[in-house]
Amino acid sequence: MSGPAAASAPTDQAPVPTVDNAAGTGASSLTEEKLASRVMLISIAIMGTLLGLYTSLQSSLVFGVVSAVLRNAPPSPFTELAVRASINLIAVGGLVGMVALLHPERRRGATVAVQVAGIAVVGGVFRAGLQAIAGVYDIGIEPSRAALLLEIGTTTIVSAVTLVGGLVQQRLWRRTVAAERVRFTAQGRVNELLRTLQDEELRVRRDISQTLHGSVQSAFVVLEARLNALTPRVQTAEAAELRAVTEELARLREGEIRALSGALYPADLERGVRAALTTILERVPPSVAVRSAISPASARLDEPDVDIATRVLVVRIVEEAVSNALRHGGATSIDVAVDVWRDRVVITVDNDGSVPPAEAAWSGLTRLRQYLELAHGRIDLSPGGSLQGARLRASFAL
Amino acid sequence: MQPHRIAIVEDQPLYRQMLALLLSSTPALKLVAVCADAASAQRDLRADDLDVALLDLRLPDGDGLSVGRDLRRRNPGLGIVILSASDSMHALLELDDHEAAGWSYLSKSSALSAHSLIRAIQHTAAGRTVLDPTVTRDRRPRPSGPLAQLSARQFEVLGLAAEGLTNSAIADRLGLSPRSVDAHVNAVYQALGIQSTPRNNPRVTAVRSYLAHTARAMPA
Repeated sequence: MSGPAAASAPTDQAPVPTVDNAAGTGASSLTEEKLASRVMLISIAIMGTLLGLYTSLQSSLVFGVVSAVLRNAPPSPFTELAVRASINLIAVGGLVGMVALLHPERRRGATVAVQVAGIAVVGGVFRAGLQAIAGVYDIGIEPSRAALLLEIGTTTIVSAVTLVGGLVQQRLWRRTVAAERVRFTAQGRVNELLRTLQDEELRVRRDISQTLHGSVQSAFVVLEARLNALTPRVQTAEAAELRAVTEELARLREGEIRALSGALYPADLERGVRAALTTILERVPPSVAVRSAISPASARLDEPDVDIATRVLVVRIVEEAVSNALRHGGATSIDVAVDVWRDRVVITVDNDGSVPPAEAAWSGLTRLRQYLELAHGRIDLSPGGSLQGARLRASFAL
Repeated sequence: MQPHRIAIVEDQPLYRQMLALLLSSTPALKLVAVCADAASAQRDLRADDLDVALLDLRLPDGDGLSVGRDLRRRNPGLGIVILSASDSMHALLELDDHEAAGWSYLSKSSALSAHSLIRAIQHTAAGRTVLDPTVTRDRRPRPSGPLAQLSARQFEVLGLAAEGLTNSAIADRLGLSPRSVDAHVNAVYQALGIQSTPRNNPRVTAVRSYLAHTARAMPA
């Protein structure tokens, strides 16, 4: 297997990035309490405003009630509407203010009913008082006590309905949030499980790879040494056979075992991403010009909080890009740049080879794209770049 | 002449055993310690009692570079020979320029040859950098690197210097006069822009450049 060919099929080993949806459920209970109150206040404000505007319109324009609000001005239904609507909006504001102060949504049982009733009654009296001050009732006929009580009663009932509506809205919101939390928690558990499985898979891959790279290769070296020591002691014909066997063992050790080990887990990754990338570029034939710009910020990739799957992904992307440039693009020059900027990995691989046709089955690239989409990242292969050939650009969040 | 005092750090038992056997039977060398992993090496090895440490690049709990760095901090004159079953010679580029002198690389196959091993140990103990000839042999300069501007002869001389040969040994090998080799070496330094400084050995810097800007013509 040739050098670049040895770098093939990397995407079979690319890890599946998991998305941490659980982060979205991290709101504290205090924040949730405040949000619930806000939902209730907004609901009351909207319902109260709509009802207030509706009754104002009804009184002024439909029933044609004309009061002596503006005593020196000619009676006008629109003036009447403006005054009544303003009073209603102020009353709604008062209602919202009382709810914000007393927080009936935080009470339990009968206390809620008592508070709602209390606020509604005060709201009714407040609105009736405002109307009396504005002279809404001064239409030539003195308002009777019964009419005033009726006004207070209806306003109280409407206020109570509005408050109950707000409470229901708030409860529904809480229920929705709780359901979302359950969903996110379940998703988080799934992600955690996936991550655990992925870590375990990587651990096993790494262990097998290291065994192949270390113990198995060393065992082969010992066997080769023994055969080499044995060769001079045997007859000529057998010696030639022994030499052939020794050479075959060396070929297996240097070629197949190394390629198998690299396919399982990137070589030298245990010494850092830079070392692993250097190993990949080292295998590119010497006839190809290779330049690499692995920024100092890329050292972030080797920090303990960056998981191994991410490091493997970085190495596999570069490996895939280099492999494609050599195998399909016929590149004679390759530039590799890896950078980490604002906790986002940016990988650019330019080459001077031909741009792959759109219909080519870039299975490796397609798989990497799918993985990156899960990690809210992307990978694009397009014509151009610094070497006027093809550019592969990948980016994803750490 | 005192035999060179050697320590082995190698995790593979059979290979470790063979290496120990080879070193013990070589009069010019004295095996003083054998360790199976990085932790025991860092705990048990007394760097001042060693001339050269043979370290496997890959250890179950670390790597030979880290162990070597740790030993060199304790004994700056210590020679380090990195052993690896595969072609991982470029790992030496992870060392800084100023600490690279006295670090060598030997493939595990070559390390089981008494001639290659003794030669590598002796040169490394003398502060030189030796790259395994079986691994450097097929290397070619990349067109993008500074080595592309060297003449074929200069590249050949640099390759032999990378194997740890002295100028006179290179002269013998190539059938040139020592003065010609000196001139080639200086031309290489000039072409690569390498200057001798108190911190940097120009020969080591040139060898590192060789390592960085070449690749195997027919990788396995």
